[in-house]
Amino acid sequence: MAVIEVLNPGFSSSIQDLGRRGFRKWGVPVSGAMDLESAQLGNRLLQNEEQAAVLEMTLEGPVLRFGCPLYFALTGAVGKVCLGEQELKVNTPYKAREGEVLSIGRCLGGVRAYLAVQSGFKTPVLLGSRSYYHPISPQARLAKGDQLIVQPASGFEPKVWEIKQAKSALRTPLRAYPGPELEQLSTSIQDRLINTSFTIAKENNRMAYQLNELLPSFTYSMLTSVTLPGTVQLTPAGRLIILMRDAQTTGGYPRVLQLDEASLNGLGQRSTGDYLRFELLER
Amino acid sequence: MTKPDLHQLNEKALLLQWPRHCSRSLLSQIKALEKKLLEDIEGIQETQVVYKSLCIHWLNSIGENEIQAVRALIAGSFKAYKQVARLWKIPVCYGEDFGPDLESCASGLHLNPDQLIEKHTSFIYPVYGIGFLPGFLYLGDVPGELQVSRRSEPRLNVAQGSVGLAGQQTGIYPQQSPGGWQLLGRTPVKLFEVHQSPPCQIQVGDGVQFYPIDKPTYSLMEIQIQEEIYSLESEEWQ
Repeated sequence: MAVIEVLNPGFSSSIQDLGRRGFRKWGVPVSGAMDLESAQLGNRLLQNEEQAAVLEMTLEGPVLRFGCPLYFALTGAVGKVCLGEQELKVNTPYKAREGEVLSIGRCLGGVRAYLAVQSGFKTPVLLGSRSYYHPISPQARLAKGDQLIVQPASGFEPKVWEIKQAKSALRTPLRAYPGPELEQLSTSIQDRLINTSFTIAKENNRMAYQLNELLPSFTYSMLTSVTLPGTVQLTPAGRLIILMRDAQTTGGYPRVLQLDEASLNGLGQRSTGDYLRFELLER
Repeated sequence: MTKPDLHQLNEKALLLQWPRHCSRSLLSQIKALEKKLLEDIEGIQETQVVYKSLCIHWLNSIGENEIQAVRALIAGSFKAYKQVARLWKIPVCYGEDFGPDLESCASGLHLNPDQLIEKHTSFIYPVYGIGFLPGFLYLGDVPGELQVSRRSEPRLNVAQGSVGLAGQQTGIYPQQSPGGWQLLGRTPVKLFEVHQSPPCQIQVGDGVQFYPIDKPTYSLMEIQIQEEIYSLESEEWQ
């Protein structure tokens, strides 16, 4: 059994895949990569299956040692990365030798980078997914000394040596469908929702992003209903909360908007203090 | 059956919401419709029923065809699809350190603690949804005589298995978490087990009734659960 050893876990790194399917009825969050598009790009470079698990790294990456020769690729908001002494490029497959050390530095041009490995990480499958989500998974993030299991198929050679990815446009509006309760808002609050430039609060993580700017306080009593990643909720205090991949599956706050998949991926690259606006999608 | 409002949430999800007051009979009709949807319509990844909403999640992006198929099903009759619900009996050790709010709740309701326990265990609470935490059951239909408000300050750490009361709802914390409900007692039963299939035996539409146990019984059950020789009691629920 081959492993990748975690010498230093970085700021917050976790194994992620497409997430848990079929368990929302029991209140299990979907989880999965925050920026699925970047995560999938790594799998494509290595001809992995779509559901192959990757390592998601937030803000600052880990230091890892390869226990076997292995192809890998880095995607997303990759900053300075070194394999031994060699500096690496984003969106390009490389081959590590046994014992080589990969140091993934601070993220650049976003807050989440991804490491895909040949055949994917083979950490345990729990409820149909390898995604970390505590307490479904025993841990929430990587820790020093963890041994991540890999099982590379033999005889593999990359066919694609580089994929150009459109720079994630950090300033473009988030496209959103009208939420089920949007029409309960007065037209003036609806206008402010669409015309305000918001900033992301420091309370942002894999579960939810809060926004700093408040809308007028708003009272609307509703029965608990369904929420999903990308749901934008408005609390009675006028606070906007955007639910992310690890969000709970039910909620009782009015759902004013619902991000489309591409905008949800893009938001996964933004963090504290970043500006954002919403653009309403026509139906 | 009253017709629900249809709302396409995103590329892959359709939300059905009924305008009617939420009740057990509406819930069982929604569950029947859910069963028919899963049998008749292809490409559905999963469905969720929460109070008076039903969400359908597709594997791929949907269009007019899928929405029309759902509309056609809603218009038809699906009474024959009524599912058999189960009634689950859940043991609870009330009071003392397991139920720090039992006495204050009782006095607020002009009852003594034993009367509150007797009333809390005499009703059957339908499971209107599962969410907030994996395996957290939204148990509704708490009668007026048992309704208390939430705590003004939520607790940072509510122990796993704690049984709480708040407004029209009662429920069990399936894992340690913060929580603002009034705590009456604790159950040794684990409602959610990652390594079991399915991870939660109880489904939306089922019913829950509590029964009181003493501390020694609680400890015994804890051991039985650990040794995997305990099984939750249930019966058919009409």
